[in-house]
Amino acid sequence: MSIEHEAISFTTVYQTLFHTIFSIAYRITGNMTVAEEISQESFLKYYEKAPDLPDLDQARYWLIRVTKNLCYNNEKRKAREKRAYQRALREPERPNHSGEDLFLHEESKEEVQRALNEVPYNLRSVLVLKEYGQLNYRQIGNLLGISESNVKVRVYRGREKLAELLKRGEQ
Amino acid sequence: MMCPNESTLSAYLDGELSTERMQEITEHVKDCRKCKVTLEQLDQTRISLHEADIPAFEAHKRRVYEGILYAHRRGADGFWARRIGLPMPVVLAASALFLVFAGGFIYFLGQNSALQRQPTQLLYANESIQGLHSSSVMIPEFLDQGRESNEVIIEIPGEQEFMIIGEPALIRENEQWNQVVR
Repeated sequence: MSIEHEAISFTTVYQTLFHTIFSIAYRITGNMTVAEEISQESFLKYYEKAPDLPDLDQARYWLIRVTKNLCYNNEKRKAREKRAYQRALREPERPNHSGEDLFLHEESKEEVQRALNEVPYNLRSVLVLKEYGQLNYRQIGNLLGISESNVKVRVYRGREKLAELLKRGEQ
Repeated sequence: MMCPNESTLSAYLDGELSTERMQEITEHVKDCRKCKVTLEQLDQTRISLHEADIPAFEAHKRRVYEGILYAHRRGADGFWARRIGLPMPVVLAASALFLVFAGGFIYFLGQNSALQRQPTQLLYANESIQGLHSSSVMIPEFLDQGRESNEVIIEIPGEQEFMIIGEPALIRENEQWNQVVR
């Protein structure tokens, strides 16, 4: 690289960005234990690969990219296990009443997270990246491989869905 | 001005519109009650997301940090320290395969131990070519006894007297040639 810059220390990166990464992982997966595992893996990757990044913004983007991939893998695994579970028990799909969901409800005491868990994944992930990742629409689009206008629509629909669920929760 | 659609209002909250469009909407919302309410509702979800604290955040932060250091140290021990999960059927199939191959290997090793003995030398130095011809029958018999090596060294006599076995014409010619030479 032609521009000289001092490498940011891992401690600085961790201290500054842990909140962001952990929030994203927790808000998307809705599970504290999984969020811990995902943030640990993301920071461990950063620690071991030590990417030569000029500032904390770049480091944040780097970490968020790893984190959202891990969240996506978790979501796929969850869906797979849910399907297997339903096949094994020959039960028709009953949304929000599977063991995993009950577990999530049990774990996430806060109302906002409970509502967020019910927002569909493709809206939830975009909304969480927007609200907790301090990223703009263009960056989110790049991360997820979707267009900026698609990001705009998903953020809106995510907010709309979340508002609806929160309102229902109040009643 | 016509009311902007709701996704545009949502983008307005995120400051994702052009400067002119941002100003237009700021003006519009002052007069339009419907858009003002929509905007406030959208903003409320944002606020509730940011107000929601993660319980015991510092504890997570500390635990994850320790986890990173631990995982890194273990990683330094190398590839072999890594834990992997395998489905039970795969483990069973792999061990069955291993047993079959290991068993077969040991079996054949026992069978072929004769190979490791010293080769036997058959010496025909004092026999004629005809003698070798007749003893060529002996060689398979010799091997069949199985008590010796499969490897046989045949030494051809130092002084040979060849008898030509073949076309009579060739033999006759050979005899004539011999006479001429003598």
